Amino acid sequence: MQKIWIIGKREFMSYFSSPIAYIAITVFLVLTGLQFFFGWLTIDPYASATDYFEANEASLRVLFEGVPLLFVVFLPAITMRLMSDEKRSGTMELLITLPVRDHEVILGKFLAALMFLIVALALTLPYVVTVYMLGNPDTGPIIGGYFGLLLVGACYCAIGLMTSTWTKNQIVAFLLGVLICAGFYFVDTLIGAAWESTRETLHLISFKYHFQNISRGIIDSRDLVFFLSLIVLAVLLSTYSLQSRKWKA
Amino acid sequence: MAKQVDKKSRIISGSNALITLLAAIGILILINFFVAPHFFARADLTQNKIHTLSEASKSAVQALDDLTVRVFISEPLPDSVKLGYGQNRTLRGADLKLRDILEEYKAFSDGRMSISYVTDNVEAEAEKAKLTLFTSEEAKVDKGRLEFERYALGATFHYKNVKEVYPLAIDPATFEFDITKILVRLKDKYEKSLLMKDMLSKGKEVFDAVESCNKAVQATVKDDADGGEDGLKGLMAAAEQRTKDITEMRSKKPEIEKSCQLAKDKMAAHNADLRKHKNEYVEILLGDIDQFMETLDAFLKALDSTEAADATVATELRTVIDTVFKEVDNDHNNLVNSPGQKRIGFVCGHGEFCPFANDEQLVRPEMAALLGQNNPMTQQIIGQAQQIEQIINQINQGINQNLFKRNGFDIAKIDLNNQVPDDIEALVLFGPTQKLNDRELFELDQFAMRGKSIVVLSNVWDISVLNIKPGANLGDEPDMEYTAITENPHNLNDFLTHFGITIQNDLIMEPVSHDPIVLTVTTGPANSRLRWQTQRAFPYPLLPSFDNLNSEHVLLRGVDNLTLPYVSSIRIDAQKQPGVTADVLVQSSANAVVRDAAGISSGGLPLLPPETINIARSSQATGVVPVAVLVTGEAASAFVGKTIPTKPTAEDATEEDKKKAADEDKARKIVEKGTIRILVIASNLGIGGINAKDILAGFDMSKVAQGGMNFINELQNYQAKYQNWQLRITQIRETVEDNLRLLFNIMDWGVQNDALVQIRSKGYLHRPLKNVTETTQSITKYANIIGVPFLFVLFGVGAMAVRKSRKSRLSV
Repeated sequence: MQKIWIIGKREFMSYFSSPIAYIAITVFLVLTGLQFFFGWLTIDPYASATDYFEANEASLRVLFEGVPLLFVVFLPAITMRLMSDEKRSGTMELLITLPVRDHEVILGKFLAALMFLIVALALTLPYVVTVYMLGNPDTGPIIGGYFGLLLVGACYCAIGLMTSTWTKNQIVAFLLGVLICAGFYFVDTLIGAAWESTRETLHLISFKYHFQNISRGIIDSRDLVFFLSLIVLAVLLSTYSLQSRKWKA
Repeated sequence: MAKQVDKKSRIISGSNALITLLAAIGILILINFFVAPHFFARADLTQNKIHTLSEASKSAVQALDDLTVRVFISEPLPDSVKLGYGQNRTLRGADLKLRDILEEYKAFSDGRMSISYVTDNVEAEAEKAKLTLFTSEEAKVDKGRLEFERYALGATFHYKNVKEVYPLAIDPATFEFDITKILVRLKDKYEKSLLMKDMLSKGKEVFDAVESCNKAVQATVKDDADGGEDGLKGLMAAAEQRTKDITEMRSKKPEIEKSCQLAKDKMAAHNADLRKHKNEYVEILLGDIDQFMETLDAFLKALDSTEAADATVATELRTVIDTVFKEVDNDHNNLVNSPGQKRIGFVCGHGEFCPFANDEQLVRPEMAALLGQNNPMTQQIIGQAQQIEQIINQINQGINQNLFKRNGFDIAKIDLNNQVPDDIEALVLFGPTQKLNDRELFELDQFAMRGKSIVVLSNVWDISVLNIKPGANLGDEPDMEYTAITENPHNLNDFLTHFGITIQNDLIMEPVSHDPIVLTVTTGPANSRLRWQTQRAFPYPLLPSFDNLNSEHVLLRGVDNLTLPYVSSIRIDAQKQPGVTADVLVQSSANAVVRDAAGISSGGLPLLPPETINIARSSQATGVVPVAVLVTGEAASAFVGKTIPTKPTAEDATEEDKKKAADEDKARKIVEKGTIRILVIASNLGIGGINAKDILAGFDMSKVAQGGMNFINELQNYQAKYQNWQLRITQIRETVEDNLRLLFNIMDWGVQNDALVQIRSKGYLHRPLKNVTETTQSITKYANIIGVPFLFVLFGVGAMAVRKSRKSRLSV
């Protein structure tokens, strides 16, 4: 556990040792701000007014509609270098000679991405303060929304980490990460539109469907099980992907 | 050798990893798809527990000891459902939510409820069970025709011998409300149907016999499902088919007669007994069965005839019989559903909001045709008046159907000149603009004495902001910015003051908390041709928002904020009726400015923004005043010791009618005491009434026939009145939408369904923002969008600088 923490902490600090983390989080904050006040990412044709003051509702609903979409690009961009950079720069060999097991390396890296995600989300808390200053919102959906974002974000991080173990090229890892994350987000909307009969089943594996439940303020064991399963699966696949070097000639 | 061992160990380790991975994937699939859906738990974090079954729902399901639910869900369901007026509603996950909530009811039923899912021929079965089938947005081309596939999503609830249908379960937000309403209704229906057992069973016997008769008539001809061929060939084929049909019908006549004789016998046997009950639903059913029998006789007579023309008549009558039977079916359905039904009456005839089409046509088509024959101008004018009448009637029918029926309210039009029927549980007086006569005030008083609910939603002032006013003379430009305030000449205080309530003729402004008014304004550089019209929202203190609410009361539980357009204050006189309690439900804030009638009439209240808000802000606050009051308790009638006011007689009433009415009044006893429930809100919630009679007031066909230009001017007036009604709703659309929910709560409270009000209030999610100036809005936006990232960048630069200086110190 301690080794996981050490790796995680080192990775997390390394994010902030260069301007990249600051730039990424700044862009993320500007985009979430635009989403919160203008709803530029809301593509639901049934959604009501998207301008915050026009909608005249003390809630973070519009923010929660857009952030999972932003995460589709933002989080794979953060996780793309986690393993592929180690491979590319040759520090992987150094890492695996250390007295740590493969799964500890993976969990450490995942922990770092998770901490980065928490920092990014924590920086959106001024919106919560704004909403409380301007009205009397229902706290339940706000807690649920942030919890849901944490779960969706953790899934994206795990998927991003997994694609990062597959290649030494960061761009390839990023694109694969974006593809898989977007796939899971839109699976029921896209494939379901083409093959209607699959829609009901596809709901069960859609990030959007499970996230919407949580963001309404309902913590349902089925949604938790879904997100945790995907995290476990992606972390497992990452670990085996790392281990696979031992099976190759 | 070592290389081989190494290879073997790699294969083993790889295989182990693969097996572990596959096992893990298998376990995760098992958990997600087979275990989690059946064993799940939920925590509801919302303040009002809007996603958790309320106590009222749990009690409702526990009150039924043998409940069976049949669920109809089409598979697959489309993504969205087409509603009327080009609207669509997303269906994403609605079926899963319906299953979930039904399972939740079942879990709380202590084994008293069972659920079965219809899996075969879902749509056909659903249609049989009287569910409403719906279509998706996308159509499919089938045999060259555009077809919309039909879907079902709903359920039927069976308890003992009664049934209730949940015809269309498409809105998860109202699932709990709808289902609990059904459960409460099932119990009422069962208990009341026991008292009406004899009438219901006889009604069913007659209906079943009529149904068999109709089946026998319709079975004579097979309908051509494919539509046949086109062109001359098609016409010839159709003629041939008609000949075949008539031959077939004639050959089956004895069977029809035999089957329909049974219906006639049943009708003869039970007619007198059924009519004895003096039940409105039975009367309608028997009336339509009589019509069915008359059409049947004409059909059989036409079959006997050898005339070619009669053959065509018989074919057409066969279709008419089926149409009339559909009416009979509908009537029987209404009768079966009638036990325990609670209707809400809307008082009409005084310019109120009265969502019913006019009974009598103001512009009679036969007269229109006659008058328009020689004069195309007259024809055009009458045509336009006719169009206005039709549109208004359609609007009212649409409101009735889509707003009330769809939300489960059975409403009836009430003429207070007659005694209010027994099955009316609540009366709504929705913004009357004309006086009630003495007889109407008497009926209102007597209704209150019967312990039933009366809801008064009354606005003292009629306010026009940027409305349309046609020119005084023909050819004059209309005033498109007509802004005025006039007092509504209603006399509701004649009824209310007796119970200690008086609606004051003042107007309340809230300078801090209010909704905006949306107006069409011309903008662009002054004195330029480049000016355009745009819609803008202005802060408007005459749309005051109140948060000083009695949240303890069931009507307002869970409601944070309420906007009552153009509201007046209410005076309470507690001494008037000692047994009566007046509870203030809504009152203004301490900042409220109350402008009295003198201040309004003198023109001291500008109605156009921004002057209105400026006046409100600069005036001295009057303080807290009540705007919605509930009066309950034991009260005496206002007519104790008085004679019953005479009923106004109709123009065509005979002496006999007048005598009969007088005798009825003599025999009638005044109810002198009763437990009253009167809710008074000094605003019409922004929902103005529209009625063809009021809009076309003064319309006289004979005047049109006489010619002259005056009528064109009057027609412009009618059009302007209708457009102004639309304008007013549009100006405060959002406020009206919010208030509809309050109206539904009031209606549920009216029929004493407090449990349902509680459930509806749970979902009352509107939590508006405080009123802030546009500058504050901009500052808030940019402080968040630019300020927060900027501070973060500053922090980053600082952190980098510190790190750099540390590094440089280390290198030193």
